[in-house]
Amino acid sequence: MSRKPEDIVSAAVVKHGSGREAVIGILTDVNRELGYIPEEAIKAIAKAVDVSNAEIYSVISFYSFFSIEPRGRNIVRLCNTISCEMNGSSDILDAIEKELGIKAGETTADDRITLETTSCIGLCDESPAMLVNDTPHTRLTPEETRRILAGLE
Amino acid sequence: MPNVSVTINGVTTSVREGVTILDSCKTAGVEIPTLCYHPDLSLAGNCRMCLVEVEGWKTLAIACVTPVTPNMVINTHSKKVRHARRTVLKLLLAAHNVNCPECERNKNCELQELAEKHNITFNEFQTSPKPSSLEEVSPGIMRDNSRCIMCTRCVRTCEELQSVAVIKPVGRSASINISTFMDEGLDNVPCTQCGQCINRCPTGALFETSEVKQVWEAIEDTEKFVVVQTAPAIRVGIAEALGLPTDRTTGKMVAAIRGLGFDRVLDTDFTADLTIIEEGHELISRLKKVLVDGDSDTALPMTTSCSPGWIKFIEHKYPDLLPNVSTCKSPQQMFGALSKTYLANKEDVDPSKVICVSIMPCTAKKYEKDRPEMRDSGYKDVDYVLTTRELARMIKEAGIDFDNLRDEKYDKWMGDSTGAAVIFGATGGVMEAALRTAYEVVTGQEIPFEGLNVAPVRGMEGIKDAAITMPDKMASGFEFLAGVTLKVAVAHGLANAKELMDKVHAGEVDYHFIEIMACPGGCLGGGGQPIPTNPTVRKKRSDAIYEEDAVLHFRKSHANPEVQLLYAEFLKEPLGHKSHELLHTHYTKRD
Repeated sequence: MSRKPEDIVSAAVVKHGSGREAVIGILTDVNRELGYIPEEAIKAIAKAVDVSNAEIYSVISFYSFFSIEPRGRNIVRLCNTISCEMNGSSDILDAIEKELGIKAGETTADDRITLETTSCIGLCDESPAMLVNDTPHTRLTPEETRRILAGLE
Repeated sequence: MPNVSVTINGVTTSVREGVTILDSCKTAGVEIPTLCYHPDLSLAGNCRMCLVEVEGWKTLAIACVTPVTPNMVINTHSKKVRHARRTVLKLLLAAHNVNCPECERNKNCELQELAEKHNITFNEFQTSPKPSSLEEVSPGIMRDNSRCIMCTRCVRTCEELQSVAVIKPVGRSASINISTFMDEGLDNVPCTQCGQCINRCPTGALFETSEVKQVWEAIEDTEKFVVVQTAPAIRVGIAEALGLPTDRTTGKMVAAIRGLGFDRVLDTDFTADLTIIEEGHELISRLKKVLVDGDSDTALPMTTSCSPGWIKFIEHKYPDLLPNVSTCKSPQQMFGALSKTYLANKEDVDPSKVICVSIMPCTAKKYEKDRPEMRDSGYKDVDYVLTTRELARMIKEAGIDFDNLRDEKYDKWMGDSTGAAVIFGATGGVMEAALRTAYEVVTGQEIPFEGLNVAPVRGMEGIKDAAITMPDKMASGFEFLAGVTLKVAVAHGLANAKELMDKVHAGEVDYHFIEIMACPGGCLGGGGQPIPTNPTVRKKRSDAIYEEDAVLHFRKSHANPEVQLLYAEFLKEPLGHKSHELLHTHYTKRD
């Protein structure tokens, strides 16, 4: 049984404090535990930090690693910036989309994988690259990518 | 801070160390174009319009956020600067919906003005037209994001001046927008509808929800008896909205409005005076309940209730303090309720045929008139609300030569005004008007201030307070107030209101009566007033308001002859049965 969003926020506030500088830390904790930041959590954070709901929402919207919608158990983030693009990231994207039957920004029906594209993740020298959850995968080929996807729970 | 020597465009001058390049250039009479800068707000430095060249610097400096240093050599229109500014401007224009003729801010737009000043006749970055994208529709405020240049003046206004903070940048880079929590829209978040964001928008991204079309239709409908009321602050704002210098133009304004075809031109001042009588008696009654009866259910301090932005703010932020708010409706709503009862009867017209239009310096008034409880006359008390800017548009459309009009007078029954009512338009005005009347009611004497001018509650300080000790000899029935020191406070701008109300909430202050106006400067700085607004403009409007007060024959609300007649013939007594039915209201706790 997972904790309620409000309880996760309370614990995160104890850990990070209730100043404005604590917001990113609190959001990270909630996002890590639930995979996204639900509306109740946003309201609880705003109240704890004494800022408006809109401010927390604004911060979340700035960072692609935060989400306000539930996502799959695994998040695949394929780099779409120029170096990866030149080394074939669009072929990789095609391969993933075909393999999973979803488009970038979508989640598989069994909630196993959410596919996203991302701006540069700093792995240009080993492009094309992607992140699967917190793990980087580099010098991708369609075949290798399919193998990585198959290994995800 | 000591003075330092700086050279601006070859001229050496002495300025205070630490002031910005922008301010030092302003002092030196050198104009630098700005967009995200606003004198009421914190510095953002995000638009890059104000770039200048500083000798020895590798890059151009942002004038609005860069402090001067000793012996700085500044060039404000070198080739490099002009090129950079033109590029910035073109990029902003390329991301902007440049359909100026269809914009509310056409000819009153900072971006358009800069494009003209910088001679932008061709924009190589303009690749495709940006279609209108109306993102936001609420009772008082609309937003078209296709016109937004992301300067964040609205965001800073909402947070810094109003401590409301319901609009924020959402998203990043090319997909950024100004939006609300979960993009729910202003109508579904604690927006007060004050419209201060509109007044500080440099373009037409924010504007009022217009009812000009409906008002023309009402005027043109011969079946309808269309009455119009003008708020105190319109008479010092309308000239500006028509491109004329700030002035009090009550007589011309009445003539212009009559020229538009309204059946009766009447004055919200009349119900401002009425508000003072009702609210003054409410205050005295609350004081008696607390001081004499020891009633612990009666809430003090009592706060004013004229400002609908303030009402919505307190409903959201301090729902437990709602018993402190005066139950008096705002002057606009008192007027509406009386227009379809008392006035309809006086004019012998069917109240169902009466259309009540208000001209307000305010966008929250548009929201207020739609509140479900505002139907005590048996009809919608106020049908349409126009801002000062919308009135100006109608006057222009009708081709009325405002400046050459002869002064005209308001129509009768609800057209009399006093100086006390006029000053409702400035921060501290309701307090001063209330004190002029309440003091006289309880002591039988005029308030002991030179020329009736209650100076301590005037001026633009964010929070003002005053203490007035009652004499030993009181009017009959008010002996319980003998020797009592009445403590009052005034706040304008909701950030100031919050500061004051936090103290009330914490029990740190013991005021009896508090005036709050949602907008900086009071109604004269309202969200429906002409654009721009800034401390200089607000001071001019305020001066005009107090001039009008000084020249009026009657300067105390209880001296208003038509208000006296209203009580004699219709209401009978303050806080009486009819008053409670038509002039008082209740509030709603909101999340």
